[in-house]
Amino acid sequence: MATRRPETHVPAAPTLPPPAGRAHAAVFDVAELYQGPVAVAAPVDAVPLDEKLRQAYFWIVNQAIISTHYDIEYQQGPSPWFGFGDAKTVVGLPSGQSYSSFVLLPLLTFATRRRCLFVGGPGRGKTASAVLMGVLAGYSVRDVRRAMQHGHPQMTIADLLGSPLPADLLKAESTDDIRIGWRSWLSMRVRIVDEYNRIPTRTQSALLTVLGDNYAEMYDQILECPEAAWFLTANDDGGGGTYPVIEALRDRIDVVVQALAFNSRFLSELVDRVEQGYRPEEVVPPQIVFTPDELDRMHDAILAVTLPPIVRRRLEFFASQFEFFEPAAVQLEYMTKDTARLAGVDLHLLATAETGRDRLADVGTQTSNGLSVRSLQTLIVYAKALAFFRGQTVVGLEDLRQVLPFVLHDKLSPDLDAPFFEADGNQPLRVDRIGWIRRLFDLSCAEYDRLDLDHDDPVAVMLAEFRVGLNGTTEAEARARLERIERLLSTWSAGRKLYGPLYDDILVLKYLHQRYTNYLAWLRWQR
Amino acid sequence: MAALIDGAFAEVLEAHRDVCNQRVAEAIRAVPDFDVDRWRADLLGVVAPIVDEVDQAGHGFTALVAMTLFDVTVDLHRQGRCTDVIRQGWTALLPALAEPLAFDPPGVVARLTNALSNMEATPGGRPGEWIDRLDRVIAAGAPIDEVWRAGQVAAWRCGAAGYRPGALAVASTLSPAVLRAALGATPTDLPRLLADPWFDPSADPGSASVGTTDTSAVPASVRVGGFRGFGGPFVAPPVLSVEDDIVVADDGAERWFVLADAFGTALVRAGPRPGTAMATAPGTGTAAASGPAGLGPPPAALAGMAEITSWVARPGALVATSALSHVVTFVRTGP
Repeated sequence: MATRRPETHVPAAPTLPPPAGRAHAAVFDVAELYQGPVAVAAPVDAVPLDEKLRQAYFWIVNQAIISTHYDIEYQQGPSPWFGFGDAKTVVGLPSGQSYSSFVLLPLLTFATRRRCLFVGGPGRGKTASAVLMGVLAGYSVRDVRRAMQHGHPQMTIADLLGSPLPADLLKAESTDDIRIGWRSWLSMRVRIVDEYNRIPTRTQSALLTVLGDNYAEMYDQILECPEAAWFLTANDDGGGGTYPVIEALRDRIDVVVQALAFNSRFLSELVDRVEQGYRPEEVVPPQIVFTPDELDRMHDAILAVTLPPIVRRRLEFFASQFEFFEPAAVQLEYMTKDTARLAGVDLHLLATAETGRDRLADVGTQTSNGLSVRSLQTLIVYAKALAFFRGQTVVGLEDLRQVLPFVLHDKLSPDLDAPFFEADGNQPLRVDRIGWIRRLFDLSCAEYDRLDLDHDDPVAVMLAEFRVGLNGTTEAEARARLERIERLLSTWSAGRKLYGPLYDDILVLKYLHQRYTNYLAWLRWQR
Repeated sequence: MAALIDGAFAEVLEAHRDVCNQRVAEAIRAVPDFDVDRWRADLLGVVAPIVDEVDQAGHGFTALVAMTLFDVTVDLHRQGRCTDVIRQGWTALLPALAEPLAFDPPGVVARLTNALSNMEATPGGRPGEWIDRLDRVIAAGAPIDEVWRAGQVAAWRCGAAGYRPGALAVASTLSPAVLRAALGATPTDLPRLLADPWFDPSADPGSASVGTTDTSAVPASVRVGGFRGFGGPFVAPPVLSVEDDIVVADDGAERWFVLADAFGTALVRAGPRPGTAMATAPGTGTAAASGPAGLGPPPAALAGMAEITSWVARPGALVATSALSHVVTFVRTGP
């Protein structure tokens, strides 16, 4: 009979072996005498936090959640691929360490104290995953389960936040005299809301305040809540008893993770669990539980990961593709999809007025909205978190590419009538949101390369020049810069079609022009 | 009827019955061939007496010590690693370490167990002798951190030749009494130990094998390696080179660091060659110059070896290989 690994076994470090060979001097390290089959209680920080996070990931994916999906793929060298079926569905075998989004994204949310929404049919492990995150934060299983908020149609604000103390209500002469018995879950570092789309709209507003601004308010009393990771689950609307989620609350969700289907080949694992009454959340090894101090330090370490300019520029280029919508206005600043949306006008009605642009090549035509500042900030945080998880101090382009679809899942709305979706092979992308967003990014990067923006980007040069500061800039230099801006705009206006990236660049040039103009006026006033 | 656990250990098990039962149930579920009877015998014959002695020592924390030993025993049996060496080491040393054990049960048990396991796994290692030496170190009154350092020195002394450089560095930090117990040396012996790998300073005149400071008790030559078909590491007669002051043997398939001194030998798998060419091809019958010996025919001390393929001069010895053999031979040349 095959021997199974013990469930409390924590994967041995390093979980991501470095590519370089072992240092020669380490071969004869006498300290290794005391390393062996029994784990020595590690002093604080003996295991780096990124290694601990990886150990937590591998314990969950190998022992707790039966996830056979390695959909976040990294390559390290050539990787074979195969085509299946008449549609030649591509199956690639990644050559680098790859991950399951259903486990990794919640873990990154845990590390960055963001908000993760689990979606998928009932019974697929959404709540179980959220409970695991609570246990990783050091709470007992009992405390996590009791603190979990279960959405239901009769849920009131008092159910969610707490109630005023009855004695105070009777005696109080002003709202200041009323003390609130706040619910204990508000002070936890992991907060779980199960079936949040079953919470009535009025109570959703109260949830929004806590989730978005980290405080709860009742009877003019304010409870400041500590920073926390949020895990929300939602069943599909067809099950009944659901409410539309208010857009502001939906927009506060940072990442959406889909619970993927169970692979039937692993039914034996389920049989064992049924027979033994095994619950992984009850046997989480203490070595992968994070203290509050470790959580704080890990959060700081993640934010300290560098986003290098070459990656940032590609993100800028990608983000610039979607907001611009020329038919929406006559003034440049208002030529956006948001202008049309606020006016309540269908984009397709206005789009018939457009001429000249290639609607198949322009990725901006594939969406009905642009990216908000909030979503861009979230993207940056998750890219840093993934780089940190992989033991890097710098965000790589692939890190950004991998998290982007999950962060923008509910942020970027596809225009299903766009010509792109009619092209051969693109029809499934109407449904496969992850695949579609990843394809968007790939197309954007291809266009970025075609324009050679790493080497030929005059706006970047001008911006870098401006960011040095205006102190000490002479009038002559300011005039020269103004002239360069005007000359560049003149060149562009001569032949270029107006697409999203160009729109953003024109606005930047206008901004710089205005800044230099004001500066010249100030210089003249000084004389 | 099987003997029952009684005494202090029994009380601890009773108080933690549910947790203990759950851990054993998990182990049985995770490892279908978990030998419950053997594990129970170790609990009764090894762990219980230790817990009783710790309890009688009066430092407290008996429950913590007991549960640590319980958990580690389960874990070792789950891994199939609870060997007689570990049983012997625990029985001999843990009662003597009662005080540090009470204050850091997981640390003390883990370090001791890992050291015993490593000594047992080291080819040529002498774990029984290591246990004796550590017992003497503890009896010399060493504090626990010095005990661990002495353990590293004793490991080298008991056959883990790869630890020599690190052990010599640690040896200088030991008190004279502890150094004598761990190494059989005095602080004045350390410079010579550093210079001459074949010096054995053991100061036990009654010992037949290593009883004097005279190195004539150390063998005149030491053979390391062997044919892979007979359990050795080499698939073909190896050839030597020197990297970073360490002898490397290359059999064409793999490379090995080779060490030998008065206390033992070691073969450790080396990484890929760092870009330097082989000194000579194996089996050509031409002696290769490597290391500090320089070019030229092999020294007279190697005259007894036929068809030498490579040789190097090291402190206190000449190291050579032959086309007729799958071993690396160290021939002592004196200090």
